[in-house]
Amino acid sequence: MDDDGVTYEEFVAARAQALLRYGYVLTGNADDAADLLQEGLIRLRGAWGRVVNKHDPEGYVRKIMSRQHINMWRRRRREHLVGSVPERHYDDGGLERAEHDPRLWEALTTLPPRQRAVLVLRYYEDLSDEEIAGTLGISRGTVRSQASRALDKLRADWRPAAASAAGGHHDR
Amino acid sequence: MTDDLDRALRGTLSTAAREAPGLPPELLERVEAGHHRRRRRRAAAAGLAVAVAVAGTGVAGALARSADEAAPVAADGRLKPLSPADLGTPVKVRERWPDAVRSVPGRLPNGRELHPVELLGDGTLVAATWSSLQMPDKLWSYDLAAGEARTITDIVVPRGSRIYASDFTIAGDQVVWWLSYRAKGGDRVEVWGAPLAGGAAHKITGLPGRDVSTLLAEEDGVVLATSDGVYRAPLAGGAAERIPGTEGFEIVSWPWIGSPASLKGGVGYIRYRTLWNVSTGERRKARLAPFKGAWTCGVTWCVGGPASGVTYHGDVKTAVQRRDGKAGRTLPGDRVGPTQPPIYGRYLAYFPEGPAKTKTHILYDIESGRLLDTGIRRTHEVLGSVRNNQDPQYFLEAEGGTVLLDLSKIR
Repeated sequence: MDDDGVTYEEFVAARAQALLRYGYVLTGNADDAADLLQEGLIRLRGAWGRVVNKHDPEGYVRKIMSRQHINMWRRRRREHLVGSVPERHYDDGGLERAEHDPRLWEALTTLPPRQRAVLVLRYYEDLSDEEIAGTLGISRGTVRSQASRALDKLRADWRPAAASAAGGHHDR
Repeated sequence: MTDDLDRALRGTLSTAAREAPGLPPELLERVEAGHHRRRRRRAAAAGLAVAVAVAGTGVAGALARSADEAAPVAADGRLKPLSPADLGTPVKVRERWPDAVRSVPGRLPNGRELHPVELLGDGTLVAATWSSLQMPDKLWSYDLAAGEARTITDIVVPRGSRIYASDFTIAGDQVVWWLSYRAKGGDRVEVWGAPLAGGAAHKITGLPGRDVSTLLAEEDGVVLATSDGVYRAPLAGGAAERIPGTEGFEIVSWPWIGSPASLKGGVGYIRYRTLWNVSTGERRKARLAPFKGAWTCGVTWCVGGPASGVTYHGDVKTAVQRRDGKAGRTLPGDRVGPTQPPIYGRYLAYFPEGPAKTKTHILYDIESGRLLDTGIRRTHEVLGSVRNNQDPQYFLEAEGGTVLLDLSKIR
């Protein structure tokens, strides 16, 4: 959408919900998502005139949220990060529903935040490794190693839903 | 297995995102409080309250007025409250005006993600690619019929860049943009251009400043608005000259400029109350009905919504009214999104089912009073008016690609 030249208030009104969703997939729980969003918006509010490209306040906030998520975790106890499986509303398209896997969502909570952030940026935000590196302030090599570690961990613990639905025992 | 896991991750994350909770109702107050705490040392920090209507934050009570509000303006007309029945069933845009909505590729044949600028009449898509977040590196001309893309130009990124190449605009046989950077002696903005047929990018003009609020093209030149006024420069290159008397004005719909341009104003405030046609010298003033919010005006129509600096307890409707005070009305339903001039001079984003349940982009046509359903799926965003009010093309990211909404095709 071309909504250049928005004011801070316009931006918040239009994008806060989407940013909260981003915070939610990043952290896995509603409270941390709200905290991250709040922090991101406070910083944006202070930097509104200085954001290097005013045309991407959203990118700026997402970057802050991603980095904050990782830093926050360093100061926190792990139990804060264990999220709950979102309550399902069965009004979505059948295909999307089939692709949702509550066990995978749960497995994501066991990842360290940086690994989770890399996966969220890659699979939710569709960013390239280079863009992920820029967002998180780490090298491309670190992006790759974090992603592969995270995927290995998930893979060890996860079977495609179809397989387990067909009777396979899902061992967690 | 990897593909399965990739797919499952995408599906799981996007489903989870859709099921994220709603915004905490007190979020914006907490943001403001946090911001002011951090700014405490600045004794004179302006108290700009975020008076935005966010989906789902229903509050009740009376309206608190800010101290420095403007007096409500006397008007000829009144605001007539409309009911949902008055608006009727939305007209399906795709059926009625099939040319108005079309898909365009989201990527180049080589796979790079495109950020569209404009679809030209000959079916060529002009678009940018980014080398990193918000940093355009190349402009492309993509012949959609032939499926062939070629580079128009490489974008020059100056040292000390503050704002990367922005607001790409077609100007005659060129594409122009602006950027800003830090330099000795202060920040500078520059307007650059390149021939659409392909060729090196060149500087058209430059002036002190950080930001250009609007850049657009006229016959042989470019027009740019900054916080200091409205400037013109020849497309062939040369000094930018300020149009005398344009300080404090912003471009509303060229050659109409408006004042005051600030977004901050209390109850009764009218953004762009005064209009000035810099070609003919004609001036117009808005005379609007009393309303417990603030207005933002286009050339013909004004839109009313919550005033900034005001805490509302109880709903504020969206109001529309002609600049001359005629045809005033308020729309049913909760107000959603920012108050901004009408899109393309005559449309407003509207949510007949509320913001959460309205799945597609629906416009209220202020002229005709009917609702238009574009059929384009929303991804939680609200359509806004673009910098150049006369630009009919909106590119929207939708499931499965980019969709172009061309408002000039709706008649």
